[in-house]
Amino acid sequence: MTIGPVRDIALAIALALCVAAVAAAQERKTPAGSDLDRAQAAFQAGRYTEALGLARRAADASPTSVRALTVRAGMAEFMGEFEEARAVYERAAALAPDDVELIYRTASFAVRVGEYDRALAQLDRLLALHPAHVRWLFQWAPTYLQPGLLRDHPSLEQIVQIKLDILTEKGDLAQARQLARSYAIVKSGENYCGEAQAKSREGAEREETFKAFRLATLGQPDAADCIWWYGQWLSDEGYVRLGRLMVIEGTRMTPSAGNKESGARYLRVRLGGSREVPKRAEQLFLIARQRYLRDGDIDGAVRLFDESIHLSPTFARPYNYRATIAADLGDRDAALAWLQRALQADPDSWRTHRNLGKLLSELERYPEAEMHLRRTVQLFGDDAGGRLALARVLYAQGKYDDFAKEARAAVAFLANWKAPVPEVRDFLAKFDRWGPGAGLPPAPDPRIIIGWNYD
Amino acid sequence: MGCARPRARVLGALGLLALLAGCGTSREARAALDAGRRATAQGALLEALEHYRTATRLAPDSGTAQLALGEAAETLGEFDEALSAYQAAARRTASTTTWLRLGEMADRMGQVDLALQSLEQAYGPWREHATLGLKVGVVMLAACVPKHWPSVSELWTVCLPSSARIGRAWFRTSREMAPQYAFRVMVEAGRREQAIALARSRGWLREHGDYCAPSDFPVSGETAGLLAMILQPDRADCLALLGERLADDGLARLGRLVLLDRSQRSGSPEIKAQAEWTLRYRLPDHEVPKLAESLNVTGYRLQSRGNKSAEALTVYTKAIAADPAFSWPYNNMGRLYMSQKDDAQALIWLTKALEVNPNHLRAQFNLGVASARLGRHDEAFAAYTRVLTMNPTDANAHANVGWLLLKVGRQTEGLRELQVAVNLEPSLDQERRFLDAQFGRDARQAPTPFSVR
Repeated sequence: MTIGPVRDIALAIALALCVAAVAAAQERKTPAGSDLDRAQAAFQAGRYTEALGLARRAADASPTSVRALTVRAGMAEFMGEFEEARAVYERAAALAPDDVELIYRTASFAVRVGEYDRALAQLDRLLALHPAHVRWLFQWAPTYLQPGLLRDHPSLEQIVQIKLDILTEKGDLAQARQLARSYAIVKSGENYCGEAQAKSREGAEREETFKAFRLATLGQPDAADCIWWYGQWLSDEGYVRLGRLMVIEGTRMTPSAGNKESGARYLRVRLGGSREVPKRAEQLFLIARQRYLRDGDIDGAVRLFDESIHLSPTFARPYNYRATIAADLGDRDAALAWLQRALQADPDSWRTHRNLGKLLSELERYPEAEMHLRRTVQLFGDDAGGRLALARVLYAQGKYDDFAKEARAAVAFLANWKAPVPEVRDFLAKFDRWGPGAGLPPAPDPRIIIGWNYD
Repeated sequence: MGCARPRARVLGALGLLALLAGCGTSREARAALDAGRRATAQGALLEALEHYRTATRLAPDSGTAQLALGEAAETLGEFDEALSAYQAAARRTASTTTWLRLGEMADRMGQVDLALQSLEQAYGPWREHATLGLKVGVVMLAACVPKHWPSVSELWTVCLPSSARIGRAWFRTSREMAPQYAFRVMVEAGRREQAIALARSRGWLREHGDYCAPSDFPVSGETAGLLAMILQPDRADCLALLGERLADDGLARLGRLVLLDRSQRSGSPEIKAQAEWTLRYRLPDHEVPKLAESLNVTGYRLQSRGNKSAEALTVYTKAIAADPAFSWPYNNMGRLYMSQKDDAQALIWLTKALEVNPNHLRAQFNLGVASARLGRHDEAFAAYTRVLTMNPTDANAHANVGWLLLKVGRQTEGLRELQVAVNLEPSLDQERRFLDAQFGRDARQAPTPFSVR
C-alpha cells in the first residue's frame, strides 16, 4: 500500500461521502447506466429515499462488489438506518479488509454510534497502512515538522482531526488539547479566542467562525468565553453531547460567579441538566431533523425520532419535533400530547415550555398558555420572542397593563440587539393612543442569541 | 558651365524641400500613431482607429502604422479593413508578428488559403524562439535565486534545472505555436491530408502511444486531440471534453466538428451521449460561417474584457447579418442588456435567440433570469423548467427556481429546490447559508461537527 491512494481517498472522504461527489460544471448531462449510477444521481439530486432504494438493489445484485456495498452502507448511514449500515459495512469489510476508504468509513460510523474505542482502533489500522517512514515521522518527528507532514499526507490530517473530536466527545479535553499541540493544530502563545471573536464581529463565514472557536477551545484552556460560545453554538446545532461538555468546561473555567450561575442554568434549561444523551440517540435526532426539514420525509423522520426517544427517553428535543410534525399535519391534540410527554421527560426544558405555550395560545387556551410562557421567560429572561408571545396571550385575556409591560421590555431588549420589531412598535403606539383594539398584537420571533435560536 | 552651379543649387533646394516635406509627413504620421497608441491605452478604441487611419493615410508605406491599424480594426470587428492593413503591413515589414496577424485575420474571415500561406511565413526563425526561451529561463533563474540563496547546492540542483526546463518548454511552445494554428485551420477546413503532412514535417506524429493520454508531447492538448481524431479515432474520447472547452471559447465550428466525430465514432456509450448532449444544447444546430463565429467572439471580447458595450453591439449585429440563424450573438446581446440592468431589452434578444435555436440552453437560462428580474414569474418558471428538462442537474437553475418559489410564497417547494441545488453544487454559498440558517447545518454527512467540512 502506498501513500498515494491513501491520500487520494482521504481527500475524497474529506470532500464528502463518495455518493455526494459533484463537479462544478454548470451544465451536465443526466447520468445514466447502472442502479449504482442512478443511486448516486438520485442522491446528488437530494432524492435520498429513492437513492437508498437503488443502492440496496445494486448491492443485492452485486453482493461481492465492495463499491456497491460501500455506497449502500454510506447512504444508509446518511439516512440514519444504522443497523443496515453496520451490517453492510461488515460485509464490505469482510470482502476488503485492507481497503483504506472502508476502514475510514467504519471508523467514522463507529464515532457516529458512540463506539469511540472501536473508532480509535480503526484509525490505528488506517495509520498502519501508511509507509513505515511516514508512520515513524507521524509518531516521532518533532512538532515543528508535523504541519508539513500533515500537509503532504492529508489522510494523516484526517486521522488527527477525528481523534481530536473523539477525545473531546469522550470528555478527555486535556488529552485532546495535548494531541492538538503535538501536531501543531494549535500553538502556544496564539490568541485564538481573540481571532474567533474578531471573525464573529466581522461577520465572517459561519463555518470559519466556528472553526476558529474550536481552535480556541483546544489552544486556550482558560478562554472561558470562547469555550462557552462554542458550546452554545453546538447546542443550537443539536450536537448536544459536545455542547454540554463545552458549556460545562466554560462554566468551570469562568471566574465570574454570575457566569457560573448562568452556565448551570443553561445546562439545566437547554441541555437537559444531568440527563445525558447517548451519541446514537443524538445522531438519530440530528438526522431525523434534516430528513423532516430538508427532505420533507415525514415517515422516515418520525421513525428516527421515535428510535431516538426509545434510546434516550429523557431527551426532550425529539418529542418537540414529534409535536411539530403532528401540528404540521393538523393534529393539534397529538401535538399537545407530545409536548406534555416532553415536559414529563424534562420538566425544565425551556424550549418545550415555549412550544407548548405557543401551541396553547394558537388553541386560544390562554390561561394555560400564559402559565407556560411565564415559565419560559422565567427560565430564560432574555427570550424576547417568548416575551412577545406572552404579551400576546396577556392581551388576549384583557391583561393590558401586563401586556404593555412585557411587550415594552421585549422591544427595548431587541432594540439593544439592533433587531427592531416595527410591527410591535406600531401596535404599541396605537395601543397607547387608542387603547385596546379588536385584533391581537403581533408576536414575531427574531433569532438573535446564539445558543437559543433553534433545536 | 556657368549655369551648372545655379542648376545644381536649384536641384539641391528642390531635394531639400522634398526631404523636408517628407519629414513633415512622417512627423504627422508619427504623431497620429502616438495619439492612436494613447487612445488605445485609454480604451478609446474608435478614436484610436481614427488616428491609425490618419497615420496610414499620411504614411501608407509605414508597416508599423498599418499593423497598428490592422489590430485596432480587428478589435472592433472591422475585418475587411484589418485584413487590408495587415496585407499592407506584410508587404512592407515582413515580421513574424505581421504574418501571424494576417494569418489569424484571414482564418477568422474564412479565407483558408490566405491564412495558411501567411501562417507558414509566421513560423519564425529558430533564433527568435531560442531568444524567447533564453529570456524566460533567465527571468525564472532571477526569481528562483533569492528564494534559495545562500544555499549553493539548491541553486545548482533546483534553480538551474528548473529554469532550464522552463526556458526549453517556452522555446518549444513558441516554435510550434504558428504551425499548430495552421494545423487547426487545416482540420477545420477538412484538409486532413495536408494537416497530417504538416504534423509529420513538424515531428508531432508518434508510432506508438496515445495522443489523448498526457505525455511529453510537444504540442497542446487541442492539437493532440485533433491528431487523435484523425489518426486514432478509437482512442480519441478526450475530444468530448475538448469539444466542450472549444464551445466555451466560442469556437462553435471546431467544437461541432470534434463532437460530431465523437457522437458518431466513439466506442463508449457515455461519451457518445455526452457528445450528443453538448452538440444539442451547447452548440449551434447548424454549421456557422466562420465570419459569424469570429464576429461573435470579437463582440464577446469587447463586451467582457473591454466593457465596450456599444462597440460590442455593433459587432454582434454584424455577426447576426453574417448568419441570422446563429443564436449566440442574440444571446450575447441579451446578456449585455442584462449587465446594463435593461432586462426588458434583454428579453427581446433572448427570445430571438430561442426563436432561432430553441435548444440554446444558456439563452433559456438567461431568459429565466431576466424574466424573474422583471417580475414575470410565470415566464421565469417556464424558462427554468425548460432548462431543467435539458439539464436536470443544473444547480444554478434549481437555485434560481428555489429563490423564485420563496419569493412567491411557496416556502416548502422553494426550500426543497435550494436543497437540491446545494446537493448538486456545494459551493453555492448563499443557498447553503440560507438553508443552514433555516434548518441548522446538515449534520448527516459526518458524525462530528468538525468532520462535516
